[in-house]
Amino acid sequence: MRRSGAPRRLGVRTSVGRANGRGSSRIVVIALLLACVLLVALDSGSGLANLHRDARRAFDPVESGFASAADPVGRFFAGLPDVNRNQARVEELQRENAQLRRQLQTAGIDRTRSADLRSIGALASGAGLQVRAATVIDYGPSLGFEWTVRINAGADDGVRSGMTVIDASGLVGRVKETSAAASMVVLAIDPGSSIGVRDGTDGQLGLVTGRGRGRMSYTPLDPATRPAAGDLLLSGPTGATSYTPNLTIGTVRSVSGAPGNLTVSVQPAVDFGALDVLAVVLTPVTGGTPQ
Amino acid sequence: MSRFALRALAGAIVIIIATALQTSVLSRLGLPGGTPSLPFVVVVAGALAGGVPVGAGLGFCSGLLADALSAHPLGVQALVLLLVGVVVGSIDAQTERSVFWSMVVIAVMGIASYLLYSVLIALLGTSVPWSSQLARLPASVGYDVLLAPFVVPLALVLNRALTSPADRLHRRWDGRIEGSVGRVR
Repeated sequence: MRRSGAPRRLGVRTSVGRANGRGSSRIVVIALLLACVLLVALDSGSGLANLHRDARRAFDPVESGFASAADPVGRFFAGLPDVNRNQARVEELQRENAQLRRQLQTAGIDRTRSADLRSIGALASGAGLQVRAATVIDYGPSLGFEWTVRINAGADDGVRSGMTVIDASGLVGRVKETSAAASMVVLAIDPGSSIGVRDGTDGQLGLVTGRGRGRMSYTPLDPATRPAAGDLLLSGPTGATSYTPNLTIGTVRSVSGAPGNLTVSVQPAVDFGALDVLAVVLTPVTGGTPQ
Repeated sequence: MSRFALRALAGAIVIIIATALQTSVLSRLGLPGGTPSLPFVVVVAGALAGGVPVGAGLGFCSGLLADALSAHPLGVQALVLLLVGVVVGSIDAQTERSVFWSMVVIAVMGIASYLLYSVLIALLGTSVPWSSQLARLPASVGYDVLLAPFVVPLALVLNRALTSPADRLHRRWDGRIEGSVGRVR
């Protein structure tokens, strides 16, 4: 650069000077090329090792000065390749976090469910019934007209239409139709549902009919009897009903009207608004059940 | 001569800054695929702005400094960058020096100098890992090209500031030749 500056200035002054400039800059270039070759030759035999060392020594302070000044910048750029990885890590942690939070929230539900399952199991084994546990998938689309739920057990699980469905508290309803892996259950509160029952207190037989939304009514077969509030109603003896016998239906809530025209409202044992873990009774009703 | 000394001093400072930035920052970034070479880009920019003399001077000196700071024999980088400076300085007068043009020049010269350097090193007895060396070429040249829009305008401004008024009569700072006495090659 030092040597090439002068010809450059000459070169633009006059055309003669430019010709000189071109010539001398060519000479300079050739000289530099030769210098390169010479240096390579000299240095290949480690003749200039000291020069490398000295240059390194002289340049180190400059370099470290730049390095310290540029370090934050360098760190920023050095971090760039990791941005995606960090992003992925953040997403992973967010997923994990959400999962943990969900677990925390559902822990209570899971406890309730396992308690439900245990009590259904106890109920079933106490009554000598073979059951298939199931969970409610969804409530019937025509809720309000036809009270149904779908459960995640179907024909493949041995569920057949007509089977009784229970939960830990008592009788829920009856399987209406099944597909391979799911079934539709008509709830006991469905207006079309009637269950033959026995009043557990006075032993009278009767009929419980669904009245929709958490309500049922009881009609004793013998018009002369008058049930009392608090009477426990159980599904009727074999033969009186197609449901599995001796399951809790509910309790008599109130009795009104004259004999022969009684209105008996029943408090269902099952909370039909919160159905979750259910069980289908696989044991055939006609086979009879040991008390 | 004072203007010439000024140019030499400016060139030396530019070379030292470029080399220091290269060794302390760019080489340590660990950019994926390759490493940009700021001294190379500076040499090309200088040659585009000032022609053969500037290109050759910058190329030889910065190459020599790079050689001195590395393990390979003196003169290898100097030779490569000298040739880059001379070639780029020779072609510049025929074309307008737009930033795009400078990027094209840097891409072509980057590939050529990268290969020439590898060949020279191999000839001097160092075993060159060719596959990995060539694998780093595209990204390295790509980074060089990306440096061009920042370095080339700076070089043009600096060259203009350090050019004598007599020079400027014939040569606009943006590289276009004015009048009939332009540099012709």
